[in-house]
Amino acid sequence: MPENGATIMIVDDSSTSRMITKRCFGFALGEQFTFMEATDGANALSQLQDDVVDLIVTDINMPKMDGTTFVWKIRMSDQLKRIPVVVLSSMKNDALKATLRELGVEQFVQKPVSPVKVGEVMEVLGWR
Amino acid sequence: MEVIAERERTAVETTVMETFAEMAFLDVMPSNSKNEFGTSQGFAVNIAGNERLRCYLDMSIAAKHAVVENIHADAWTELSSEEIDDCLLEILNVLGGTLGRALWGEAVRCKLGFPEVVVMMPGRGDGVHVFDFDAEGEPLTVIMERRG
Repeated sequence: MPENGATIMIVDDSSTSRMITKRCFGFALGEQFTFMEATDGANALSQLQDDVVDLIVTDINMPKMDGTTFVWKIRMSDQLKRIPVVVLSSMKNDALKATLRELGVEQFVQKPVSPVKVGEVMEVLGWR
Repeated sequence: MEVIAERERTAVETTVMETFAEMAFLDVMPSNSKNEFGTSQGFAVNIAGNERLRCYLDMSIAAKHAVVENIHADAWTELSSEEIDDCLLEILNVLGGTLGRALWGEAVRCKLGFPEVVVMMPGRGDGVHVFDFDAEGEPLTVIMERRG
């Protein structure tokens, strides 16, 4: 984890889900983070043109630009491709996991998200 | 009315109980009483996997209050109507995704639609499966409609 506090971007069309995710990160890691929020992949990419983030947490099923397309666009960008991505979705199946693995995403949390699930994933990423 | 397999019934009941417990800290149990439903705004989501389903969620106003207030840790009156609808739609979103996996397993590619607010719900006589629940004394109903 970055030494001076991390900035985490949460990409989800549900404001409730974004709120729960922020709460879980706080409980799981006991740290103060700066959160950026985006309502879909397109909105997130627009914000990432101007701002730097340390971690992206994204939903899959979103209007305008879904999570899979968003992650693909991140991986195609020289500027963004090294940002770690955690996928958080209510859908979990082998095909989706395989697609995400091809995009270099190994960290998958199935909703409902909890501090325990977030903690486990962040431990793998070395943030805990 | 179609007969529902015991495995499917268990999948629906377990998914509902676990989702409401984990997200809204609410004890929801299968009920033997026949809940009234469709009297207020409900919610629906399409789930596609081995078959196409439409899943409806209906609950009493008091149950909605409990779900939303528990998730937000805030009073109903302090929340906007957008926040309230978003909260109830998100719990259906999670329920739909979890249900797809419970019904068909992870080997089946499951596609979830976007949850939506509905004012018209199918009735008990419309060839749907109705699952009656008790949410800490309040009626909560899940209706599954097969769409081919």
